[in-house]
Amino acid sequence: MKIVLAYSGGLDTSIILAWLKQNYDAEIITFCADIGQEEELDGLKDKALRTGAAKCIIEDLREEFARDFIFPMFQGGAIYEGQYFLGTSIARPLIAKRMVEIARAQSAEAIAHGATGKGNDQVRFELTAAALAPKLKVIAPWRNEKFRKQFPGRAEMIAFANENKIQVEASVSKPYSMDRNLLHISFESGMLEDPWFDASGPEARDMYKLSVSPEDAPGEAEYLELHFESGDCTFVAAGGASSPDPATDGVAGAPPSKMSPLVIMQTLNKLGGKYGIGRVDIVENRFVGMKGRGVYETPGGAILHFAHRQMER
Amino acid sequence: MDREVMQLRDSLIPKYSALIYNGFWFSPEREALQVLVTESQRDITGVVRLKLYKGNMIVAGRKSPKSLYDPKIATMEGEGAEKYDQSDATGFIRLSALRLKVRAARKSLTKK
Repeated sequence: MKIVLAYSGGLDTSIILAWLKQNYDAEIITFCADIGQEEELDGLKDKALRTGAAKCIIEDLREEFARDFIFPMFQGGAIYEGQYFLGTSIARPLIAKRMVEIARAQSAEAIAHGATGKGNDQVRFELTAAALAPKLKVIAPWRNEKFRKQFPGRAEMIAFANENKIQVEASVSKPYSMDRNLLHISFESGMLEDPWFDASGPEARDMYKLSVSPEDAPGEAEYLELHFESGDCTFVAAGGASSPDPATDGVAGAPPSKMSPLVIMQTLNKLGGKYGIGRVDIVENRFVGMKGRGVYETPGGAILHFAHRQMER
Repeated sequence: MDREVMQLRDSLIPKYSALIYNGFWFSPEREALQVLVTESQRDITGVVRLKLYKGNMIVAGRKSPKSLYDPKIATMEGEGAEKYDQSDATGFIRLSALRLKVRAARKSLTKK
């Protein structure tokens, strides 16, 4: 049997890799998509192979993510429950789509993921698989009782890693969990599970990666211009330099040059982050029925959403 | 963007967003909505100028060769274009108010 596993190199997916191999007597192909999480991808392949993978596929999907997922979604003005810019939600279908394609190309019978049984991601992942490859099997170890009994906590996972000579970083566990991509970083669980916990206060100051807090932002405003063509942003000019007037400079209002959706997201993330734009704190309704507290940094997405709405007027 | 297209699209944003949140990106209903979204975006072309300041975004101008904004119609200065005759507003309000007046009359009847 061949299984394609969504793999990050972290503790969970490393354990799952070894566990799948032992319990399914399978050949494991690990897949890691670069969707802008800015994690070290060098060395990931070696690590996967050392942990027991037969093959490790790493792909840069950032441009496709921006062009075919983020941009169409922002054309639709999407925002969940009035606050959340859907940064994690929109990434899952892309990862799952690529996994399905890889499973086909490698003649694998199943795909596997490390999403928990209590969250939205398992649903997003598996609905995509169902829509694109209805016959493909999906393995979700966290929904397997045997797996959960074997790994009731982090300590058991680390012990298992040591027994099986799986290299795991001796990183100090953070009091929250993170998911990062080109559109956002989401933070949840741990200290954030208390809805009264002030995520904008000093205790959470070091949690943020993409943005400064508004209090720490520069004292001077920055001007920027966003060019749009048929609902898509095509160019960003910062620093107050005025761009040509589309009303007078040709009918299409073509900007001097074009930026790719990926470059636009990167540019807006940097600018928004510097000025403390796009922090979101929400208690949201998860699809699986419970409410969850999420904190998000979406600097570029917040600017794009706002500017697009102004352009539609 | 045309008012009715915008209001129709806006009414669908919660649905569209929930579909994405719930994992239905690759579904017939999301694909159908996307066709509507794409069609609505045809003339969304131009430049938006923003000011970023301490967590805030402030609009500092917008311009579009496809804009439906007509300062000749919108202006409060003078009579403006022949496209808008202020006396038309009297009938517009009278008809819009008709059902409100009927309702109010019915209310005062039942109170007696």
